[in-house]
Amino acid sequence: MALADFQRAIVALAASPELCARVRAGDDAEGLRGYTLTERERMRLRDAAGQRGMTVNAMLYRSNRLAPLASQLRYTCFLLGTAMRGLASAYWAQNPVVERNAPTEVRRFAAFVRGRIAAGEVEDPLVGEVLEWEMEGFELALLAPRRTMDALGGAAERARADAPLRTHPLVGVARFSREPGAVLGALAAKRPLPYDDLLEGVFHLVMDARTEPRSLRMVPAATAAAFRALRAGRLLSRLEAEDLVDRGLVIAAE
Amino acid sequence: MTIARPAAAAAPDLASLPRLGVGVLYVPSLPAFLRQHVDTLDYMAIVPDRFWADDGPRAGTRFREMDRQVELLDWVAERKPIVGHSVGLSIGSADLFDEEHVRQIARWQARYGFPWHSDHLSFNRLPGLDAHSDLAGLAVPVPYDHDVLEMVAERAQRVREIVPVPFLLENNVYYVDLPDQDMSEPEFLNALSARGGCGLLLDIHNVYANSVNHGFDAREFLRAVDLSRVVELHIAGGSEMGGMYTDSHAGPVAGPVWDLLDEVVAAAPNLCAITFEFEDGYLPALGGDDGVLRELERAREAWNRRPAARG
Repeated sequence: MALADFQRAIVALAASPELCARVRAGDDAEGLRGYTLTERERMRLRDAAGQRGMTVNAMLYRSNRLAPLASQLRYTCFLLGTAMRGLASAYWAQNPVVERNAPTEVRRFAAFVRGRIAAGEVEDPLVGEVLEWEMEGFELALLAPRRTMDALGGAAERARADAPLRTHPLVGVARFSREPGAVLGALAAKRPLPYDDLLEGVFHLVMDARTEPRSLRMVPAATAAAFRALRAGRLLSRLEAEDLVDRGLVIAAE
Repeated sequence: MTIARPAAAAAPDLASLPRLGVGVLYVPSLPAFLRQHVDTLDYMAIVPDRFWADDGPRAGTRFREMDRQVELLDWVAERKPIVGHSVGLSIGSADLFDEEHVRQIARWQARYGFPWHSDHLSFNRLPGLDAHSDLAGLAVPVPYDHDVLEMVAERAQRVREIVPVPFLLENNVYYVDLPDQDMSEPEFLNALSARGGCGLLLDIHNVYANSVNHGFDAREFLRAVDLSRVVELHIAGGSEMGGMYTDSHAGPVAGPVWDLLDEVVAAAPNLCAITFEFEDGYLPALGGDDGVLRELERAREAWNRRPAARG
């Protein structure tokens, strides 16, 4: 057990700067209580806690946890700006163990941010809109266009307004309160909030992953509402169904 | 009844491995590059674990492939050899050896025909953290002690029994230098490859970073390693963090690494591949596709200077 406990202890030092500081200060008897260690391992941990490299390990520990989130939710993290540090710490305090399934980790963090937005802790509505936009893109990125199309067979062509439908798996819709092209352009240019100068309104943007690269287009509010309603499992009116079929946003549910 | 040990346990003949040449380690920002420049590669290295979601040993269906990435991989695999470089074995974890993971690697080896496969000489999993996940959040080198050598060598043998191609272990970058280790790193690597029958994936940037941070001569280190066991080399760049030089793969290959590469290439008779690594997100810092091409071209110059190429 000694080596296993040594390994747990050295990771704990990287994960907890407080523990590292205690051991560095000579309080290893208390700080390393609970670990079964040989005298050599205890000496190594004391030595490690005092090395500059342990600070680097602590930084790597944080950045390793942040990297998958920052790469998948790049614009959301950017918009959160300085708040991101505190938000990440709170998220890790709530979820101390690294999730082994990367998509689950991204979804779990997105749900956490949604909770903070709902609690009024994130003021600018664009943060939530960009989060939903990125999550739509993230889910689409998990699907292989060709394989998905092959698996669907002719379900897209068979879609009829008077028959059961479901949303096309390679299509996503997001809502923006400012002109999306300008918002995405500002984000690409790493322009910080506020975006008050960008055209205000209600915009619904379709992300279509059937093409490579993905295509984007605006749709009317009614179309977006019908798409979301169908995805949520609600029944559509005939007019709504016809609209989605005409726009190629649905497939036959078989 | 006598049970014969599987043939894979015999020491692998590294000399008969295909001399692939120069490749790149796949990152998600590479698809556009690959579609346009796949012919500039002799092979592509992949981290197989990044092509599936792993729900852990207790999950009903443990490994679920990420279709989009696999679709691109299939496209590349139709054109170029694929080499597996896993991050999920955690061969140094004291109380974990994940045979299910090794069997998954074996399935992918069969599917993509990896001529060899590799992982890291470290641990990044700690069983018992919680019911679902055992990820430590950090890759930590093993101590270079005799008991650790025995444990890792035995596991390397087991990997070789399950996956029927040579298994390589990669030398570490380390920021904390543990005192009072039984062996130096080259001694440990040499003993491990002799006892475990594994080859070496020599990450030259790791050696360079360690030499900068811990003040030793990288050339001396390389001279102490049995280079006849080296099958693949990794080259990369790094950056400063917390007062140390880190193996961040942030952009082009570090200048001194090129010089070390030339020396290793000249002295590693079983060298089969040079892999350029860069971190996803650093493609712009590299100068985009042209930057990747420049690094590959420079690596190819080194490859072409190896003694076998000169006849």
